[in-house]
Amino acid sequence: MGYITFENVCKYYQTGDTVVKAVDNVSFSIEKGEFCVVLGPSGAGKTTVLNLLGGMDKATSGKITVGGKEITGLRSPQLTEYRRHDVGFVFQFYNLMPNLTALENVELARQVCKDALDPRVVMEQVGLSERLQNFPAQLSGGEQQRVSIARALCKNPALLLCDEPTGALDSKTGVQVLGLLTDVCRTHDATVVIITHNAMIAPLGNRVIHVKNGGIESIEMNEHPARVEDIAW
Amino acid sequence: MVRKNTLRKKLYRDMSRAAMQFLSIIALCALGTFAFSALDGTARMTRTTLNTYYEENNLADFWVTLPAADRKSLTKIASIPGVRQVRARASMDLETTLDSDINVAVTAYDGEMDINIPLLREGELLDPSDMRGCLVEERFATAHNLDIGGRISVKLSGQEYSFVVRGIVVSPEYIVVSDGISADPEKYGYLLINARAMPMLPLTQIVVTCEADADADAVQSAIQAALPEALVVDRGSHMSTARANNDAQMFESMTFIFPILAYAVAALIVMTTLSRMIDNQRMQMGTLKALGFSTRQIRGHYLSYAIVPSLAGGVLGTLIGHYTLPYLLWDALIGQNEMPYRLEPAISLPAWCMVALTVFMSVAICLYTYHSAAKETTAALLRPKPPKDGKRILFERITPLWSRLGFNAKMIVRNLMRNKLRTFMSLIGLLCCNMLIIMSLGLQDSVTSMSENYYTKTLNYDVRANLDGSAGEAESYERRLEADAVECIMESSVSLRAAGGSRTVMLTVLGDEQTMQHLGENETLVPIESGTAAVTYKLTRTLDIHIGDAIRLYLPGDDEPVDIIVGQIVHNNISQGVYLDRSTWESLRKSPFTPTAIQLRAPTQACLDQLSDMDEVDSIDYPAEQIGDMLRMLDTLSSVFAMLTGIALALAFVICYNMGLMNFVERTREYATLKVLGYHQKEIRKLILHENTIITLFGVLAGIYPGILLTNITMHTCEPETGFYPGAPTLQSIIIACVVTYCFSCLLQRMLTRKVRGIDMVEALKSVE
Repeated sequence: MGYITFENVCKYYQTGDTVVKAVDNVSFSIEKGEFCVVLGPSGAGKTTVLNLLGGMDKATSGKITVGGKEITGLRSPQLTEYRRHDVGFVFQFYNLMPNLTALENVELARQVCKDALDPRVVMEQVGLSERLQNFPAQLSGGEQQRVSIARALCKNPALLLCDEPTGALDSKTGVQVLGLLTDVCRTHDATVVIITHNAMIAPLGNRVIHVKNGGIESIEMNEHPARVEDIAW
Repeated sequence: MVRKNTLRKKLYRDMSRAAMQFLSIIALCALGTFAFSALDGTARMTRTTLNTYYEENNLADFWVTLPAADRKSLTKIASIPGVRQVRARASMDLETTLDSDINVAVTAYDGEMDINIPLLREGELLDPSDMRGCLVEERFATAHNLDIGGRISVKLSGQEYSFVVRGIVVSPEYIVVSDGISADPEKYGYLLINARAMPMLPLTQIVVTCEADADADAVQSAIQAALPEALVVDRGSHMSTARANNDAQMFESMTFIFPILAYAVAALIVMTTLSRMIDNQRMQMGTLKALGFSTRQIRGHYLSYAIVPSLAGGVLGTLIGHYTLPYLLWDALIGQNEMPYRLEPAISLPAWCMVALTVFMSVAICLYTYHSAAKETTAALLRPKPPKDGKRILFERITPLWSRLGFNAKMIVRNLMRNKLRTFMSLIGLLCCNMLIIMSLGLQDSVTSMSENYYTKTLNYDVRANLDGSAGEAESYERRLEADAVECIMESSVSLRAAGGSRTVMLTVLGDEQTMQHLGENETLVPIESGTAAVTYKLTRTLDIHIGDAIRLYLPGDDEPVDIIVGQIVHNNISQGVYLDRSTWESLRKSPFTPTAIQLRAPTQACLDQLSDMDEVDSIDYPAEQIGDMLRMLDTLSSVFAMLTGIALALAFVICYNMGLMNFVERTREYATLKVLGYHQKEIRKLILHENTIITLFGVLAGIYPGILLTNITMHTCEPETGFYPGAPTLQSIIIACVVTYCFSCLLQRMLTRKVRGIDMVEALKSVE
């Protein structure tokens, strides 16, 4: 049994008479502390996998467990608890609160979490101790993404889910962010799941799950993942 | 064509997606035009009916009362240029044989009833040669089961005169049928007879009509000059006509302040909402542009956003307003006023103009928003609007305070300040709601407190006995009657002429040391200064009288008018007139001080018995009981106020809903982020509710003062020429209004925040739009 398991998970969307099978009968598992890359083209169902894993969406059928806890059976308030304490999210478009400063955005996460880390310390880890009092609009894309990561890390989550974290960034900044994420995986002992359509990122993962047409094409294990500095963009 | 259809499809989809927002715009437009259309409809209905009635039934322009309406006086008046018709009449209130306290006003025509022609309801009109027949007022006849062919008798100096009912009528000079304050057909009505049927009744009245183009003021002065001993009453002073006119005028003046304010608030909110809705579509606008749609097509598309709901709402409000409320208010109106029929004018031009204005303003704001967006290049439009910078707000600079705030509080304060327009509009919306509710409750308070103040404070006595001409000396009553205090007064109608015009008013002569009429400001007792006349405040305003001015009084039955200096301004909210003290009156050497009424404070039972046994006592009034009568008289006013309260509440509801919805729609993404971060629904709701609470508190507090001010303005708008209606919302009403507004806002937010549950995190965060 892995730390994360998907067993025959399906997610269908019904619009009128047509059923769209976003995720169809997917099974896989991820071990604790892994840096896992979910790779696939647009529309393959990666984001749906992430949403299901993050408790933002409910599976049509199948079973998902995280750390022995079954997510698929949880009700809405319990799912909130799960998101609150166990999961950190990093979005492609950062989704920072525009009217809170960088530091306050991180504090936002601490508000709801029991054993949160000190926001200032986390901001220092992501290299933004100079930008604490800036508002998102005053930060570059890479900086905003780092605030977003700090916000996720602050909750000290066991599981860090990232949806195209470099999607809106140029390659240099993207590399910085990825470096940060791999560091997190090591130092915080967190399980990191990254979703991307960018095959360049794949070598970084301990485990690479290739997704295609709502199903899993292959799962590839990587004993010695590449270092961030080495990947060609 | 295909392209156009697709755009239209987009319009329909946009509308159904934002159905609630469009619906609330429609509702706001409808409420805005509704109030105006309803009041305007009522005003026109009343006015048209009255005017037609007066015109068709030849209502008199002047009622001239004089010692003897003989041929000479008739000729004198008839020869005045501008006078069309004259007719001599006898008019007197007589006791009926039905019961001792049922009186009728008997009007006896010397000849044809060609002025103030009665409108026949049943039976037939009276032939001038008919010596036994009479016409009876409709409501009186119904109350006493008088049918055609039935009999009614009246008493005059101990003799009974019996008449056969030939017809049941209403009369244009008796819209209000009352010998006191409010109409009561059980107790009072009128009879019309031929003068020759009751030769004992002296002809003392001449009714006069003028040519259509005659100058009424000039004619009135000419009559007064020709017959100085006569009391000339014009339509403005004739009790029934003036009161009917006041009601019509009240509707007319109410068409201004309230509906215009309600309209303005609604328009403000509609414009904000529309502009936000279009602004939020800037990327789609850019996409359409990039796809090659012409500016005209895109503009047309976004104009439909404005035209469709504003036109739909405007027309809907006007129609509903025109076809519902006037009928309800009419029912309230005919409680006191005996209207002959109901004319229903079509929707007026101004009402349609309001609709046009609604559409125009919506289109204008749409065009403005569209053009300020379209100014930018297509590329700029396609980029998401740079998020509004979070900014340090002034408050943050006060570090000791700021650092003490909790995290949530900081967030709320920043939110409020970041979106100033939305915060400001919500604030304005709530302010106006509270203001309108305070006003509508306050108006009712004002009417009540005005009536109570008048009968308990201004008139500071318990009983008033009205005396007839056979009254004795004041001192004898004051000595004889057993009460805490007894004071006699002498009242008579006089014509007052001042630089600013003339009016028929009441002249009251008070005892020198009187304590029973409190005529100071706020119902305080002020002594009437000797040697000069005291004039009521409202009258000084109407006729532009100042202290030190001379006024001329024409005393009925006396051909020497009196000139006297105004030395004092007194206050009476209900009736306007001139006050003299007894020694001043006696120094004029006109007639002795003959009391027309005795005022008593705390009389003993024996005293009351004694009063009712006295021959010269006509009737006895109890001010405490008259409060109810007065409120009944002001019923029409109250029903209008009730309607205003309804509209104010509806407006409050829609505004709060609309602003809340806008806030919610624009911030769905933020709430979704919070949700993903693991905020419970409750916690997010709490944040929204706290934010709303702050806006609401400020809005509610800010609305109190304007509310009080508006109550005052509106009361003065409704007052007749003879009244001074101060606005006086009670503390209780203000508190109720505040609580209602507050609860309204909070309940609606509670309803709206339920939607937090419905936010689909996946959808909301998928893409930046």
